[in-house]
Parts: sequence; structure tokens; C-alpha cells
Amino acid sequence: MALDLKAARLDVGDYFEWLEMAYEKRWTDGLPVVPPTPERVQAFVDYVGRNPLDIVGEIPPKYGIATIEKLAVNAVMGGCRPEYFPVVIAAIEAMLEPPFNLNGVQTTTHNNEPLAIISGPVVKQIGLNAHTRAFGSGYRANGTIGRAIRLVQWNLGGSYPEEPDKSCFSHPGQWCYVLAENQDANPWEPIHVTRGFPAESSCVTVFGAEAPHSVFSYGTAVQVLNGIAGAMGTPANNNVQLMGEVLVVFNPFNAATVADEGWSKRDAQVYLWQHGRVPKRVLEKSSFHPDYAEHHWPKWLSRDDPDEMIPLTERPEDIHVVVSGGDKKFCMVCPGWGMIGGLAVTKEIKLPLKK
Amino acid sequence: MATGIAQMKVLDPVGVTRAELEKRTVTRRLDDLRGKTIGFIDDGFSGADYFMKGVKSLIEQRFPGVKTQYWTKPLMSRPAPPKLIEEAAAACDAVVVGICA
Repeated sequence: MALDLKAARLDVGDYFEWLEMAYEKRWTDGLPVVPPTPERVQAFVDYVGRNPLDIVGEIPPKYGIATIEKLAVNAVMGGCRPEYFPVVIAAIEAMLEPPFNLNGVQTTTHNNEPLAIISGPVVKQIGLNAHTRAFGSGYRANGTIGRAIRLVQWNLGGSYPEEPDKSCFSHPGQWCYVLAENQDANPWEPIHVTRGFPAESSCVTVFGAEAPHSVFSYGTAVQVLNGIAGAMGTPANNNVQLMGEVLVVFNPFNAATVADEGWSKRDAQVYLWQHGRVPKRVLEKSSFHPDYAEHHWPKWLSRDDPDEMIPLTERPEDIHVVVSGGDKKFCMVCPGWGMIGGLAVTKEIKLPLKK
Repeated sequence: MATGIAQMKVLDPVGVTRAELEKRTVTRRLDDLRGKTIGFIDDGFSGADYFMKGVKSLIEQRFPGVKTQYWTKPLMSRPAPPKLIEEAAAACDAVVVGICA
């Protein structure tokens, strides 16, 4: 079996011949890819100090076997540097955990895509951007780590459009969806500490997220939180029908506004959970499935009272809070897929020991 | 334009599956349904029960003597628990499944 898992080698002429071959063989999801030469792939494998045929898992929905070598091939293709590779491995490990339900995330008609939230010392160590344009372009680490993850989903998971991925629209994050947390500007603990990891760890938290929704955020703590809660409390997201988890990203300016008035991260989560709600009567006037409510709402939510205020999550702690972005007056809200999958999973990034 | 000259080697990025490694083939189709037990695994997605029970009813009408069993996944859009799959495989000659997300 070891021989069968080893990546086959092919001869190509120049880069452009490689590129056309990659498109013909459907080895790319649409963007150009870097040729994964044996030397380059070996550099990645050497960097993490793993056996190239170690199996990380099987990537749904095709369940292609992800060896360290195959992950390295796709990370090279995505344009990564070797020092980004531990982040890619941790993200894939997290996506393979059952609560994330990668099989469902990859094939659902819903428009969520895996977001990799990276936190801890590694952010600065490898040059991840956690400032202006935090969700956007401009930085190799952010862009290529996101591409590597997507190429793994494509080449190992077989995540092709329509068959089997039925996502109605998907969203631009399907090309690349990475967010680094800015711990220098974070008045609260980093997301990985909230989720039970030591502060000195570097971690990836994956979450099946819709595209980010921009929220103009200005004024007092309550004004900022009310704006975010208003963006959460819309009738057409999956959360309000299926519960699950939501991501809120505070920029440093607004995080400081809230924290300086004495609000902890927990306080903010509870307020958002209490106020980011949709009246049942509004839900009933739009696309509402009563049987979802019957099966997925907690028992304490009334199915009969039209004035019942429906939250997006069962608990405040299911509203994930990250601090990132420019010092400007906008926050971001990313609803999830619901309790059926895309639920946040955090994995520690296993960085190689310094020699 | 292809140069026709091999200048570098590249590695294949596609993952092989266990099914491919083990050379698994599709199970042979049943020749007929007489005396057989047909299972149904309902995903639990809204409307799935209406469809699955409809198919079950049609099979029972068209193939008298066929036995049927019905399971519903505990949470929709998630893979069926291994125990449920084992139970269905042990009890049935064929199983009707459907997916939705």
C-alpha cells in the first residue's frame, strides 16, 4: 500500500506546459498553480519532519487519502513557503473532525465555505496579515495558505461544482478564506484561549462561514453591539432556523471601544446573543420551515408565540469573537451553516522544533 | 506551446481512495425483489420523509411480498452513524438512500 500512496511523477516541459496540463487534468479549481517539483515538495516534507506517507486523513466527499506528501504537493501548488505548511496541515486536521462535517460543508446547497482563523505567535512569525484588508488580498501567507487548503479540498476531496458540490452560489471565499487574529490589538484573550488552548500556542480554528457581512460600527459599546446584533438578526440566515454558530469580527478600534467601557468578551457574546434575534412573526413571513424549528430549536423556545425572539445560537459561547482588521469603523458578521455542520474546531499548529 | 522537451518533473496532486486501492467494485444488482428486504435511510432533511415513504409505499404496492425497514438519521446532512449503516446492511438485501443538504 505504501507504494500505491506515493505521488506519481510526470515529465513536463516548461512552466506553461505544466499550467496547461494542470487545467486539462483538472488539478486546479481555476487559478494558476505552481509546479510541484519533487525538490520543492521534499522541502515542505523536510520542514515538518514527517514521514511523507504519514496519513493525515481522508478528505470528503471523494475521501482521497491525504498523506503528508500529497498535502505538500497541494501546498506547493498553492504558492506556499515551507514555513506555512504546518498551518495547512493543522487546518486540514481540524476540518476532518466530526463536528465540522466536511462532507456536508463540501456538498451542501448552502453558501458557507471553510474559513481558517489563525491565532497565536505564528501570525507574526510567518507574516500573516491581521490588519487592514484582513479578509482581502495583498499578503502571500494569507493568500497561499488559503489556496493550499482549497487545492486539498479540490484534488483530494474531489470538491467539484455540481457534482458533488451543490452550493447554490458558494461565495468568493471558496477561492481563499483565511483570517488572522491581531493579538497585539486584542483587549481580550485570543480565540484559541477561549477554546481551551494555552496562550502561547499557535492554532487554527476552522469554521464553515458565509461571506463576511460588513457592519458600520461607531459610538458607545452598546451602539457598536446593537449594530452587530442588527446584522445578525436577519430572517434568512441558516442559524435562525437551525441554530449552530456565528462568527463576529471586531476591528481593533471597536474592540477597544467595547472593552474600555468594561465589557469582557463574554459580556459582548451574551449581549449579542440576547439582541441578535429575529421575531418569529418576521420569520414566518419569509422562508421558514416549521419542522426545522420543531427538530432543531431548543425546548425553551416557543414554537407557537409569534412574538418569540429567536436567537441565532443556543448559547452565547457559540458566537465566536475574533479581533482583526484595520482600525476603522466596521465589524464583520459571518453566519454559519447551522448546527448540522461547519462547527468550529481548533487544532494546535505543530511547528517544528528550532534546530 | 509544448516544447516537447522534459525539463522538470512534477508530482500528481490527486488523492487515491481506499476504494481504489482495495479495487472495490459496485455490488451486483438484485435480479428481482421477490422475498427480499429493502431498507430506507431517511436523511432527516425537510421533505425527505415524504419522498422516502412515498418510494417505500410504491415498492410495497408493486412488489407484494417484499419486506421493508425504515431508518431516519439522527441529524440531517451528516453522514449516517456507522452503527446505523451496519444495522441496515445486516438486515436488508438493498437499501434506498438519498442525500440533501
